[in-house]
Amino acid sequence: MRRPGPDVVGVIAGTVLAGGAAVWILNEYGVIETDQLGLAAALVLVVSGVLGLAASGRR
Amino acid sequence: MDQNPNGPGGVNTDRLRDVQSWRRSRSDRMIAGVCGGVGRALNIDPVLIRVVIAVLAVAGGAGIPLYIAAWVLMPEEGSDTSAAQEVLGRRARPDHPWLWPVVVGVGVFVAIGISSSLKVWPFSFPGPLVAILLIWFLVVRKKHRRRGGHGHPHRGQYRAGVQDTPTPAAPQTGPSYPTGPASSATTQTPQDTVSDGPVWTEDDPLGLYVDEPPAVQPRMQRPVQARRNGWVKPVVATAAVLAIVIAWNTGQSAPAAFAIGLGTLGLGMVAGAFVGRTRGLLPLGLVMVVAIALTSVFNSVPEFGDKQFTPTGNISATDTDYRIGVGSLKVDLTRVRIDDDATVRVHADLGEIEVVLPADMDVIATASATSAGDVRLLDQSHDGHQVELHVIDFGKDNKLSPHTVTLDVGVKFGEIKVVRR
Repeated sequence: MRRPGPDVVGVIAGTVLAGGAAVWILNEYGVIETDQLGLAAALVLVVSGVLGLAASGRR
Repeated sequence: MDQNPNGPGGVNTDRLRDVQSWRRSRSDRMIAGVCGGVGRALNIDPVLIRVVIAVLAVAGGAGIPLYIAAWVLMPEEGSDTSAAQEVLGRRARPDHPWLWPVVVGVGVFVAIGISSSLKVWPFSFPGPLVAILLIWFLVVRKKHRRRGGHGHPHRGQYRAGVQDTPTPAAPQTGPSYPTGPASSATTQTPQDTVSDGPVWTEDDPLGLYVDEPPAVQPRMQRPVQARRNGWVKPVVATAAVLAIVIAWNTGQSAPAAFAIGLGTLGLGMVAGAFVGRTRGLLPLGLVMVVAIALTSVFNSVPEFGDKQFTPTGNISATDTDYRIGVGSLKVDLTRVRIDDDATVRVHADLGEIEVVLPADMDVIATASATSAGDVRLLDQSHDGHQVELHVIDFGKDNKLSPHTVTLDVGVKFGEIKVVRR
């Protein structure tokens, strides 16, 4: 019996959802301009990828 | 009589995954026996089901289409044919994969449209939230079914000599396989050859291997892992719902409340992934994304269709508001009379707007696509996100008239065209 590793899919999906929500809220309140949404979305994907790699390394 | 594995007092979760076996009750009914049948199927007091349906009907209205759908789709006790199947014949499949998503989608639409909040002191629950939880519940139920609630009892198990072992084209020596041209009676599919009895093949015509363990393991055995913590998903989902309710009660707009709930759900999924499996919450997150999009565009029940207005006579500031939810809206102002300054507002949520002005009308015009769109305002045009154009125009005569029309045209998503005749 070994301890299960983190749920990598859950980590990635959670990061994308939380990041998307954060970007939406920041845009709604004017912190992020509309023309910066593409960059923000790319950053969210990069962060989710990095976290996914980190999580898969712990499996 | 079905046995409830959870005991006499618990919810029968096995029947929960088998909606097709539910029957409307003949004896315990207020209207059509839906609640009585569901209560009996789930081993729940039907009064509770009636309360839930009544609450859903009052708070958002989702209970009404759900009840009607259950009425139409559930056969009555003692029958295997639902009302839908009686009308449509076998084309109406109660197990069709699109059926319940469509039913729930209608419920969500009604809930969002009527847009209410369920007051449970001290909180008020946003109406669409109840419908979203319902969708999540159905998605989870479907996932459980796909994992093997109703499949063939031996599906996925190793069947010696039938599926995993290729049959060589050796001369047949066994005693029982018929020969001759293939026919519907003799042609066998792999599924047909799977049976509970011994399986004879050319390799072993006497069936001696039947009692032996299979020579080849069907799949690699994964290392035994500790059991995942099953409490993680309910906790994270509850936190997300609470976040929505709190945001809603603190006066946030519906899309902002759903975005806060989505953020909570995402963070919970990340944190919970280290102690359990949270990927199953992704459908709930996607539903919240859809809810954000819908509530961003529509504040109320959208009015669909194409409309055209050609007002005549004098226009004033009080009766010059033209609005549509989804569709095309055309306003022709070429026949109006301007006796005083007036304001004309033309708005749509999603679609296209066309405003036709007389050749010499003086206008102070604003046209905007608040989310995204293509805006053409007289001789100006622009497209993209959050487009807004302003024009002061004296018409083709280029002379200042005694009266001016202030024109306000806007869409959230779509196209605007303001032209002169």
